[in-house]
Amino acid sequence: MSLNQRFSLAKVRRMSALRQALAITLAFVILMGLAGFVALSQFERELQKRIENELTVRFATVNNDLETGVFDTVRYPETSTERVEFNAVPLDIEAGFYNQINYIWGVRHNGPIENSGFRSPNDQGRGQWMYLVGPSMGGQLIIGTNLGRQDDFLEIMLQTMAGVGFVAAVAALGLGLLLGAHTQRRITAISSVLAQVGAGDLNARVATPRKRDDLDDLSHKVDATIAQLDVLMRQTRDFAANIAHDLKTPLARLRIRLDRAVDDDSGGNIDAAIAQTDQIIAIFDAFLRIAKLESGSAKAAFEAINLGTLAQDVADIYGPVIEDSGRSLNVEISAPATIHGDRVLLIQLLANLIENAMRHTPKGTQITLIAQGATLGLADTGPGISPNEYERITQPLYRLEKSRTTEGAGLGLSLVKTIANLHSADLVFSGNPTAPHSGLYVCTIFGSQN
Amino acid sequence: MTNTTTDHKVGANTGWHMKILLLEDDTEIGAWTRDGLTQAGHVVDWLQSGRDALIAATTQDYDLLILDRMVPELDGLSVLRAIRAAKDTTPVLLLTALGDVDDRVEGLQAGADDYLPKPFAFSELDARVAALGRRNVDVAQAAVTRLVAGDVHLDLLKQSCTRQGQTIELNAKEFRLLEAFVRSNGRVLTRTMLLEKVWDLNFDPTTSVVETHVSRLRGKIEKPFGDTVIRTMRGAGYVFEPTV
Repeated sequence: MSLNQRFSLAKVRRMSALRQALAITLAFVILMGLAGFVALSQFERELQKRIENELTVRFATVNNDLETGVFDTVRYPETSTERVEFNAVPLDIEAGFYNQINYIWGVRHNGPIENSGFRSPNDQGRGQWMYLVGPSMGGQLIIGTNLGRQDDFLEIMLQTMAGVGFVAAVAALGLGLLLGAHTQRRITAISSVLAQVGAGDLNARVATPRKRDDLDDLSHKVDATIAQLDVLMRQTRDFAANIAHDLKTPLARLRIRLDRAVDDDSGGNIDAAIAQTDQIIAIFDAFLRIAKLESGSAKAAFEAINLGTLAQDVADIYGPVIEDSGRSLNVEISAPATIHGDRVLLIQLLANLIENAMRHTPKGTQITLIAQGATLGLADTGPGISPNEYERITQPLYRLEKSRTTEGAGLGLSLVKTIANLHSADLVFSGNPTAPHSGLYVCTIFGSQN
Repeated sequence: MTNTTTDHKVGANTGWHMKILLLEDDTEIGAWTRDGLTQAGHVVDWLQSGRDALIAATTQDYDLLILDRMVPELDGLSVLRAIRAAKDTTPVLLLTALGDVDDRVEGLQAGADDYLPKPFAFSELDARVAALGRRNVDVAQAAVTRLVAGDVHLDLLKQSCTRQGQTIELNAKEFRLLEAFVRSNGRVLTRTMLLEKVWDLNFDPTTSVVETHVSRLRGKIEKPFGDTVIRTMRGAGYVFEPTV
């Protein structure tokens, strides 16, 4: 597995897992910043409200002291957190009060000032002091509170949140990169295996032992697909080799005939050569047919077919042929099912079985065509075949050793098998049930819901 | 299906000759087919591209078009579809290397009158060409209830048959076989043609299905009369020649 780990920006941009991790981390950081901003401003608003409440309460207390004559500057000394001032004559708002406030609290004040309400020394923004101005005892009471502590508090909070946020973001990014890289490695592994397969190496496997998530599932599916592909490829290779091998015989015969025709052109050799060519063409036709049927496209032409009618049709066609060959044909039809299939292909299936039966049984053999329920089959009282051959006789080009000398390309049963598969029918071989220890019964069993 | 590739032994084709358009891109097969058809007395225009064939088919009057499916520029099936779209009913015989059920159905649905998979024996093509002539198609498709060929009379409604006035008992398949012969109008019927017409089969059984059935029919229609009406053309097929 050659993992090409060369790191380049263009490559990273094409790595979906890493890219996703980065994107999610970025989104996380942005969201966290947004949440911090909202929390801070909310916090500040709440703080402001509390301060205002505090000032209002304080104003009421001082006003009460003034009214009851307890007011005394000693009682209200100027501290770093609070300032109280009473002016018997309200200060000139435009100039005096402004200046006085300015003077008292040493903060520039720019906005218009009314003789009541909350003030920040600087209405444009936050100043260090906030005060409440209101009428009291015909004069003017001003109470100020220092915002410094609150501001410090806010700043500490901002710093804390920023710090925590930064650490969280870095951690998220790191974790995202780590997880992303891990996923990316797994994806890269799958894609490099696929690349190997594409290059023709069907031994490549992702080989994930775990079964934890969909990526593992994907790996297993990829492996299974490659394994299946490997089997199919091997079959195709074997098949091609078999074709080449089995076509060599008729081609060799053809060559001999043509060779002889050069010396003796009386016609017999030429006719035989043509017949030999026809046989080669027939072999190719059978191959093409099997290949085409295996692609499954013939299913499009399926129609409702009564197996009894079909068996009767085949008996009509082949009965005389079988009889002329010195064998007999029985037809047994009982409660035949109607299935979904291709009439011509099913006739061909039976025709191939009949031709096999005629080719490999002695004269006097009794052949029985059976349509029973969803089963369609052919039984004969011939010599039968050994049960351990049942599996192999449907393989393309497979021929029983004893039948090597008889005609045929060894494709008949292969075609039967292909047609049965196309109809999702099981192809079953057994001895003839009515003739113990002899004969052969080949049947196709169609699915009940066919 | 055996025949030589050089001298085109053909059956007893009667004197009616057709003007045939042959679309075939392979030089060797094309020349072989053209020579054979010419030898059989037909006039053949051989073209190698689908576009040329379409132009020729639409500008000239042919009795039969023989179109190969896989040719350059415009394939035979497209030519056929274009011709049929233009309401041209000239008989069409499709040739193809794809001798498969689906392709056959596709070809016939596109409006082909017959379909012949490659490679083919010339006798097969010859018989089909003879059967496809415009005049023959008309005869074969005419909605008649009685058919007469020489002394053989068929009643298609009653499914009954008489020869020289004598009733001959035939089963359904034998009747269909005889009907195909009677309709053949003295032209060659090949084994594959009979399989298609009578049994609706388009694969070639290796056993002698056709021979057997023809032989049975002969037993009924010839034997009692001691003559021959179904003549076997070696390597080609059968010709129905009833006594007049």
